[in-house]
Amino acid sequence: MLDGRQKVTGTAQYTDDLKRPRMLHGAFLRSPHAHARILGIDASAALAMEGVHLVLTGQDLPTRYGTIPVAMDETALAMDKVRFVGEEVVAVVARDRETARAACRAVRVDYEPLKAVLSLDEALDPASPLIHEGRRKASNILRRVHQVHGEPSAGFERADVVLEADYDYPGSTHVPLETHCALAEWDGRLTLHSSTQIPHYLHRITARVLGLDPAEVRVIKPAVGAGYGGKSDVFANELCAAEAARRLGRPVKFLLDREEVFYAHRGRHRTRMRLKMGVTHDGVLTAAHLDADAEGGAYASYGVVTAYYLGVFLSLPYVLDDFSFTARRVYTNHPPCGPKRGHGAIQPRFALECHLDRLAHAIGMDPAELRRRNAVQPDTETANGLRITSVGLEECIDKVVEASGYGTRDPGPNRGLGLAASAYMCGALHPVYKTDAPQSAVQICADRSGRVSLLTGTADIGQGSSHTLAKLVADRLGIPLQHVRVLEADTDLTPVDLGAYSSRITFMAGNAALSAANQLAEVLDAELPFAKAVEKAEAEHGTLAFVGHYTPPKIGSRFRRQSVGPSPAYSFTAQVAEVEVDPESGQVTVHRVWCAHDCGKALDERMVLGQIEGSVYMGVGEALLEEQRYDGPMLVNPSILECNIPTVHETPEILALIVETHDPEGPLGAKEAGEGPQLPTVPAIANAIHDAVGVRMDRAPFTPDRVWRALRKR
Amino acid sequence: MLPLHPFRIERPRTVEEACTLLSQGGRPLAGGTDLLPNVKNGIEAPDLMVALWDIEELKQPLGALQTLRQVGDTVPALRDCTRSVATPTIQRMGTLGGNLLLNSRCRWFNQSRFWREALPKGACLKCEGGTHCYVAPRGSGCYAAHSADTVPVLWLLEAQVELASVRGRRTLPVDRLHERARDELLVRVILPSDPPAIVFRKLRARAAIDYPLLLTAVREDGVAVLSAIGPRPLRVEVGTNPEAAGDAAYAACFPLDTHNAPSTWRKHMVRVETRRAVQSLVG
Repeated sequence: MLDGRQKVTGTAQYTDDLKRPRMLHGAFLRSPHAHARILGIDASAALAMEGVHLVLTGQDLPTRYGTIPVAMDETALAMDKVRFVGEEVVAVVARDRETARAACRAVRVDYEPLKAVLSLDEALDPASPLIHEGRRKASNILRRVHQVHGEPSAGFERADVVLEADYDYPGSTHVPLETHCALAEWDGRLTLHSSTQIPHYLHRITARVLGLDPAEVRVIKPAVGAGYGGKSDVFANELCAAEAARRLGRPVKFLLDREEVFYAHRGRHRTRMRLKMGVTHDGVLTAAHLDADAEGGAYASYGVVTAYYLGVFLSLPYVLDDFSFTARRVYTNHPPCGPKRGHGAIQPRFALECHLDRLAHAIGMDPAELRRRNAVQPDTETANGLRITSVGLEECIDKVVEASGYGTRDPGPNRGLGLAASAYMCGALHPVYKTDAPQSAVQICADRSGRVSLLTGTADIGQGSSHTLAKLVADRLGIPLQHVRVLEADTDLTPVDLGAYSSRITFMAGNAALSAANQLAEVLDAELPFAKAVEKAEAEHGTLAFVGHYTPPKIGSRFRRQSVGPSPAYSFTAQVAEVEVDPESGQVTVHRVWCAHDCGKALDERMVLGQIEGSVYMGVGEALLEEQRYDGPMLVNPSILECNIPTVHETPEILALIVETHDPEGPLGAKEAGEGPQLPTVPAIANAIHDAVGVRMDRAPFTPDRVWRALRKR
Repeated sequence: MLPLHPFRIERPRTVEEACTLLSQGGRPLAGGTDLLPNVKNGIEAPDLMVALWDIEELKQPLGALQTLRQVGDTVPALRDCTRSVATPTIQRMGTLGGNLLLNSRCRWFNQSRFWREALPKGACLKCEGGTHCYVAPRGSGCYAAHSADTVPVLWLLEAQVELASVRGRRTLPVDRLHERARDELLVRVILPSDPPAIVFRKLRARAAIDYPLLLTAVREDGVAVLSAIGPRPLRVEVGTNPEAAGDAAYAACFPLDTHNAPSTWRKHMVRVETRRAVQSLVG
């Protein structure tokens, strides 16, 4: 691997590894109230402490922002109100973290506590207090999305069996190993290092909030210890570090501790769903309607997009011409939710795949066969205007069914097999702000040493995107991987890329890298060794540098308002889980998961297998263990110990199988592998529990107490 | 990483020197696997830490400073209950004495200082200055769960503990360890020479790292000690019939709402775990 040596030997530089002469450290005073008006802040005692350099409050950075421009409801620090326990109210900058933390405790904040909105039902109750005043509609519903495609009522009439059921998917958080960290420096211009997935959006928003010309802001993303969506927003620590550095003229670092990451959150929305689907006796899905309510916490984050994702993928990976959905994403007085791996698609996928099992049993059909019969076909368009190119769904299903013995093998007493499948996008067709400029670009330079430098704005957050891009270029040019030097995510030096989200880098930056490599290859004499060929080309053409870029095709859609969901291509996944249920305790053990994933073309097999294993691992955690639990205003488990991510003991044997369909638009045919493989894990486990002991687990996680209660009711 | 508050640290070389320091208000520090996270969370803030690392006497077999791993490797009767603690790395740092004296735990208490103080009625009564119990709002005592994995087994083994202080040494049965004065140093555990057969089971959310949701130990004569359900382990004569044993334990135990796992299910598991323990004892 390109950066494997640095990671394994500990020499990779993460943001907190960066140290600067005269560097100061920041800390936050956080709200102890879920909802309260700020009456006054007295920081005089803190400012009088030795070693304290600066205190920032909301008034110091009043510009509102948000990653999604249609919902800019955040400020760096709370202004007039606090909206969740843990919200940043005051930032203190001091000579070290200990002093900054101690000084925070010396700041007096007067609050007038307000009634808090602490559940989905309270948020939907028009009588509840407003969390955000002054919105166009006086409501705690951030966004309601209602779409009707085809004629669902006619579809339900055509059905022989119509089933309706309720599902409840828990909130959970990302738990990246590296906590959020930012280091800002000021030398008349701003340089901001941050553990971010979105250097480009961070660049824009930092300039906006600080009132700087973007040309005077440089964002650098050092090595990042994972994100999973949790570093896709702009955070208070970044903006406060930047502002403090500007005011003090000294480097300032803000490192979050682990508990603070739980308040930064932006994790999975707890989502309550009611799904109704119809099917004919011969297994044709005729119609569906989904009602989904997502509990979003105190700020919008990507919540507007979440509301769309909850419904738009109902049309994949099974043909469904007549369907509708109503999705609401609400505000509550809890830490804000946002994108987590499989953003907004995980929850309805759980409902839909469990529902398909119900429907299959109702009509007496093998659940695998029901899925095959309705599988979306290549080169088609869905009812809601998603353009489908390559499809490996049936091959994925066949592979996991064959490998696991699903439907033919009796796994033994209290053991069961469950199947689920899914589709996911390879990058969002539309950026979060309106632009016709490329989503991704890669510049490559070669010189007579034989070295190729690859400059990219993409954010490698540990998923290995730089490795993948380097390998694409190295393979195309026929040079060793280590001869490609990647310089990534430095907005002064690297071309714009929108960032590490929506599984877009392999597809989009991959195409850009390949285009640049092709241009270079064209001027090289293929008969010569690479370095010689470059020298010859330099003599003929001058210094060699080529830029490739990627702008997604303008896909015409019958459904014009569909701005969320369209992607240049879709990956497909099928999984079978084998579980064992202890009928007395309710304890579920996942023994094995077979996962077949259509990634188009595996540009690097190990990377794809790694993403599949990581996805299944995360899915097992959400299926069995993880849940953001609130007791009134309090998050009860804000620690690595209590948030219950799986240990090696809970991690099943994962049998990853790669399916290649060679997408016509993917780089060398490649599609995504980073998020899609997580989608089927939870419903596959739910279906396996049903197969094992005959109970439907419609609420995740399937903790032993819940399974035990379900078994008692049986 | 969370910062530790500044404190003085002493490294006495003998039990007697340590006792003098403890009598001056020092806090014994052995493996630190529980104490240091608690200090980082502001649960306690000792000014003087008495590091026991250089005291040879405490490192003798069954000495308080023996790591859980060493104890498990050398004393078969204590193998299961020491191997169940946390993780292999923590077993190699954490000590026998530290586990015996493990502070009780509660979901309302084992949190950061920020979190405890943000509670609607302020920090709970286990904290300095706290007055309210979130587990038993009408109660006046603390119900945090005794969570030391080794204690149920040591109790059934009728182990003794040797304590030392500036006032001299004494020996107590392990079930009276709560009588230890704050300045008394746990020196060693004394086991009877011919240990009875004991089955130990630990219920927890995950198969490693987690503190217990329920500890069950049953001796060959049908005496059980259950723990992690309340502030102290509970001794119950359950007999050697598995079904009846489960019923007896179920009738005697009332797990409190100290854990994130619901107490109704934990009570149900008292029956299941006790029955299974007796089954493997007699089967």
